[in-house]
Amino acid sequence: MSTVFFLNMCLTQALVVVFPHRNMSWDNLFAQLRNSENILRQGSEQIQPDDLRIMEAFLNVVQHVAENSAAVRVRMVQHPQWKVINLFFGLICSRVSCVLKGALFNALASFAKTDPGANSIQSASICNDIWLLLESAQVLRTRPYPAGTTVVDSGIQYELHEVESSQQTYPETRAFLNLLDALIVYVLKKNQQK
Amino acid sequence: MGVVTRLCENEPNKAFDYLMQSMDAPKKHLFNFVLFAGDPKTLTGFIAFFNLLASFSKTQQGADLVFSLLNTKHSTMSQ
Repeated sequence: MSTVFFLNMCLTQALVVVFPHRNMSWDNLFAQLRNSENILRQGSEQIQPDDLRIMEAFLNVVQHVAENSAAVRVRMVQHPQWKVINLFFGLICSRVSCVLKGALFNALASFAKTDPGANSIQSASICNDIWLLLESAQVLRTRPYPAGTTVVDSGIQYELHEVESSQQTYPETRAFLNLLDALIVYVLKKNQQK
Repeated sequence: MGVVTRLCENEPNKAFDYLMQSMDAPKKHLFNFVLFAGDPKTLTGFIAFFNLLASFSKTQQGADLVFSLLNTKHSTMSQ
């Protein structure tokens, strides 16, 4: 019996006892995140604080798993149903706490990580996707608002000045810088190879 | 369980070796931890469960294992 199978069996049996109504699989956990994003986008309901804390803890798992395994990173990003990068940007653009946005940025930074032995084409594709979404979502506003549009109090500048400064904790800004760092490392490596 | 969590946090490589090399330890620790942490009635338990998975994922082997654990279709869990 392989160790992985053994552990898998142990955890499955334990979960059957403890989580009789919960499906602790990536499919279900990402589906729950997608559901939360839909709720937030419709603006009909707020996510409960307890659910936000569970989401933060789950994103911490995603971050560590993706950060430490290049193979897992690629499988997560390329999964046809999960669409993690789009999902995370959808949540970042929603009205959620700076702590949750920080967890989302940190998870994205782990996807943008480039290991020496990793497939450079896949890493490049992931980094390009993240960079394009970062630009199009205007998380950090680099383009002026189109004429006639109402300026919305959102974006990382607003949250830095109005939310994080008053709380004197900077989870979102720090995580955003972490993401930029990962993306810039990729660009520098690419330029060195030319 | 606090010992395993601290070991995973501070010495992830040692924690992984420890859990992998003993055939009894993984079952005992993971099972006990899930019994404690996975109680759906407690928010802290649920979060602690995710925190253990995150700590365990600090090595490549651990990350691969956690991914495979949650990637398996546990049909009975959703009943």
